[in-house]
Amino acid sequence: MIFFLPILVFAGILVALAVVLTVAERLLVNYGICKIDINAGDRVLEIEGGQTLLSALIESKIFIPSGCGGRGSCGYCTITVVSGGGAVLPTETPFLTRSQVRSGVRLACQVKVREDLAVRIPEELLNVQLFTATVENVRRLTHDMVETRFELKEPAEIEQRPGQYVQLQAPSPEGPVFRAYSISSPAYATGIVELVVRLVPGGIGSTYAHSLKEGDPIALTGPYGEFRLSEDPDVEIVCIGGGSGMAPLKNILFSVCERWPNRKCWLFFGCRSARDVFYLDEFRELAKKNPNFRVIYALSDHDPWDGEWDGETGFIHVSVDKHLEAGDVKRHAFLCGPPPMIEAVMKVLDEKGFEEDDIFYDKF
Amino acid sequence: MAIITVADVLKMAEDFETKLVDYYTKIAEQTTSDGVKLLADYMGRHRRHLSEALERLGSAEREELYSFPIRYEPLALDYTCLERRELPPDATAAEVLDIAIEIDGCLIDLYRQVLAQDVDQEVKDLFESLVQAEEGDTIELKKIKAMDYF
Repeated sequence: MIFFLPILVFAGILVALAVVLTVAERLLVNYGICKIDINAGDRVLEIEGGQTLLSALIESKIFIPSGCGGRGSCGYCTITVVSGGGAVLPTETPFLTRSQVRSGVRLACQVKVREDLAVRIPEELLNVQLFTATVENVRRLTHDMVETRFELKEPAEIEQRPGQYVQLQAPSPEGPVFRAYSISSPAYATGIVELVVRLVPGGIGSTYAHSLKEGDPIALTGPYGEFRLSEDPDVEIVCIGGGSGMAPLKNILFSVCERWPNRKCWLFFGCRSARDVFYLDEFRELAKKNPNFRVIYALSDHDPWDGEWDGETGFIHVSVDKHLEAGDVKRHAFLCGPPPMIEAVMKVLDEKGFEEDDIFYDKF
Repeated sequence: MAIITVADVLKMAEDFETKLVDYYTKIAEQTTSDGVKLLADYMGRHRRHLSEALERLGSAEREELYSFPIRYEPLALDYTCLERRELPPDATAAEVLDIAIEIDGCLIDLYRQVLAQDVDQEVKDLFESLVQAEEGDTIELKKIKAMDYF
């Protein structure tokens, strides 16, 4: 016991010092009210100094995307700081290119508001709303994936475009955090938001999403992300996904087939085994209504003991190579999956004559 | 005792990254799984975090940083960090990803040994950004694993 006493005393002193420093910062370091000028005077916020720019904006109902809850590990919350904000921190540089740093792009979660700031925020982010909703339906898709449908309450409708995403608010030991999920429900279903979530062991967002039951209240913000779907019905749509990368593709394909029932489109989707397959029946039904829609699923690790499989086998980029013809065709590709899959598919698409500008994907 | 500089530590990390690329190449060559091959090829090609971080600095800034002394030599990057992680040819993608995450941890340990010392702010900034890059890589690897594609 005598040996532990000095350790305990030392630890106690450290804790006491930490508490004193925190209290002292709160009481002595008073930045007062700081102004945040948004888009050259379009809107001016007056906020309590000392908090991060991300928190200050959220407090004012401006929802900048952030996948990590402000810990500086996702790099999503980029905005342009025109003046104020201090120097770029080392915790920001891995997420910013040199030209971004030169143009004043910062991670909002790393900028402390200690003085008046002027920032530029894209117009679409200023239109992002906070929604309250309840869980309308939970459907198990595979052993580790669920589809959860939320009925929107306030506001009761969302104007989203295929490919956009929302941020679901999830509880965590450090307080509520937001996690980004692509919207899988089609754009015409304005009263709901449907998400497809794979359970990640230890993941805050996915554990929360998997725990939800019918009737549970939730909060989400959105929609975020660019709209890249061509309005020209002569442009073919090629959707390619793998693993759990399905949600935005489902939104795109159902929205396209509703609006242009004869538009030529493809879905290539790769899973490991038969037990990982989901939405195949729904897409086959959709293909019956749209004769120009082709659905191709591939299993990379097919075990004949799992039963008969009438689809492709091997990785999905191999199926794309096999089925998609090369040529001078107007077409856009939308990719969703892990980066090595994206890279392999991009190589095939390049060989098929796709221009880089015609391929859309999100780095995750 | 010879003076240790930032350049010495970075050389240590650079050598480790080179060895790491060879390590992933070897996995890609030896594996019996197409998925592991695809994955290991990808990880080998995208293992340039140190040079990317240094490229973000101007050349004059870089040269100045290289000459900063480090008081205590960090423990040499433990090469067994790679060698004790020999994988059988039938290793799964999840096993490869778990090891890649542990290896990122080896580099993070090295950089933190410098950050734990009383070093100049510029040095601190560089090593903090290196830690951040490795932590970012770890998150990406975890997400790839979670997608369960390979």
